[in-house]
Amino acid sequence: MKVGVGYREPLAAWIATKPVSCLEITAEHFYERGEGRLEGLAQDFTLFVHGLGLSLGTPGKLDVERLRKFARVAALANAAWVSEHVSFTRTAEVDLGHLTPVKPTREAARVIADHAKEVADVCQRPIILENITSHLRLAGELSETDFLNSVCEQSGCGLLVDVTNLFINSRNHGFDPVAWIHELRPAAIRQMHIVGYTMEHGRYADGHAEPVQSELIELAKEVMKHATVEAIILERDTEFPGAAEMGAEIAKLRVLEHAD
Amino acid sequence: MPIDFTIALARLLRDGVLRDRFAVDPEAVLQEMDVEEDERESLRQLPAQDLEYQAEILIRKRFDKVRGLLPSTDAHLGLDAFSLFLKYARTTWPEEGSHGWKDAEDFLLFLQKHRPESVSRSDERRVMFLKGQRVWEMHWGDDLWIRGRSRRGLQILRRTRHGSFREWAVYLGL
Repeated sequence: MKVGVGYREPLAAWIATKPVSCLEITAEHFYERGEGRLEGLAQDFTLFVHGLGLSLGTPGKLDVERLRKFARVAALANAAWVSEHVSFTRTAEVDLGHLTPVKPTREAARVIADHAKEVADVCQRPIILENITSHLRLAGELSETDFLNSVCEQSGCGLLVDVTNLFINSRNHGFDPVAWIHELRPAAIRQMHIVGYTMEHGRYADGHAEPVQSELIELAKEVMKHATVEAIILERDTEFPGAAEMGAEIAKLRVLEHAD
Repeated sequence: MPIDFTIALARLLRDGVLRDRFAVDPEAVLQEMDVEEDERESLRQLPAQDLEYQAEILIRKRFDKVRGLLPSTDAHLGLDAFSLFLKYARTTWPEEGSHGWKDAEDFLLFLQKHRPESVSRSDERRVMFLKGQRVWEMHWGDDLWIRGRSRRGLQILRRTRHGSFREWAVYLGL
C-alpha cells in the first residue's frame, strides 16, 4: 500500500524532500493555474486527482465546463485514478460550496452511478467515490452501505473510504463503524483518507487540522483486514505542522503498510 | 412545479429564516416550497438542531474564505468575528462564481452598519479590486495586515491573465 498526502501549497517544501511516494491533488486548486507544477509533481510521484465540486448527486446533467477542467487536471497529472464524493454541492438554484449528503434511494444511486461513469469516461481513468461526513443522517430506501454498494455495482467505480468521516459519523449518529466497513464489498475499496478529528460544541467534526488519533488508525486497520487497499492519503488542510510532525504523521500510516 | 428533496434541502441550508420557520411549522414550509409529496416525509424527519449544525458548517466555510480576503478586519473583530459573520450570513447567500469577494463585500456593508470601526480600508480596496476589472492597482495604506500586525506601506494588487489575483506589500520595518 502506498502512503501519501494531499498536496497543499504550505506543504510544498516538505513534499519536495520526497517523504512519500504518492500525492493526492485537489483538482479545483489547479483549474486556473499550476500547470507546470502539476507536470513536475507527476514526474516524481504517483498522483491521484480528487474533486470537490462536480456534484455527482445533483439530478440532471453534470456541469460541462467543470468536468472539462477536472479532466484536464487528471490528464496533466497523469492520474492513476480520479475521485469524487457521494454528495451534492449545488442545485440549479444555489452553489452550497460544501459536500452535502444525498438521500440513499435507488434513484439517487442511479444518478450518482451515471455521473461517475461519465466522469470516468471523460477522464479515461478509473473513478472511486468517497463517503462524506454530515450532521444530517438522511433516511431513504437503502442503508448507507447498501447505497454505496449499489453505486459501485451500477457504475463499476471503486470506493475511497475516509476513515475519519466514518468515525465522525459513527460517533455523531451512534452506529458501529466496524460493522459499516464489513457491509461494503471489499473488492470496491481502493483508497483511504485519514486526518485527525476535532470536537466542536460536543460534536465530532472534520476540521482537517489535527494529528491522527489512535482510534482512527485502529479503524484503518479494520478496513485493511477487510479489503486490499492500494493507497492511504493524509488530508491536512489547515494548521500545517513542521516537517518533523508531518514525518511523525506519515510514520503512523506506515505502520498500516504491513497491517493487511 | 414541485421541487425535489435536493432542492428543498439546499434552500433550507442556505436560508436561516426559512429554517427558523421550518423548525416551528415544517408542514407550512413544505407546502410553501411545493416539495414533491413523496419527498416530504424525509424532510419532516430532519432534526432542527442537525439542520442548523449542517448550515453552520456551510457558513463556516464561507467565513474561512471571507476572512482570507479581510485579514485586517478579521483581526480587529477578534473573537467576535465568527458570531458577527454568522448573524450576517444566516440570511444572505453569495452569488455563484464570485469566489468570495461578493460575500466579503456584503459582510463589509453589514459591518459598516454594526461595527464600522472594525472595517479596514486596505481590505475594502482588495475587495473592490476583485470586483472590478483593473489589471493592477497600488495604494498607500496604514492598516495593511502583515505577519500578524497592522503596518503602513504600499499595497500592490495585480490580476493575472487567468483571472486570479496576487498582492504584495512594501513596508519599512522588521
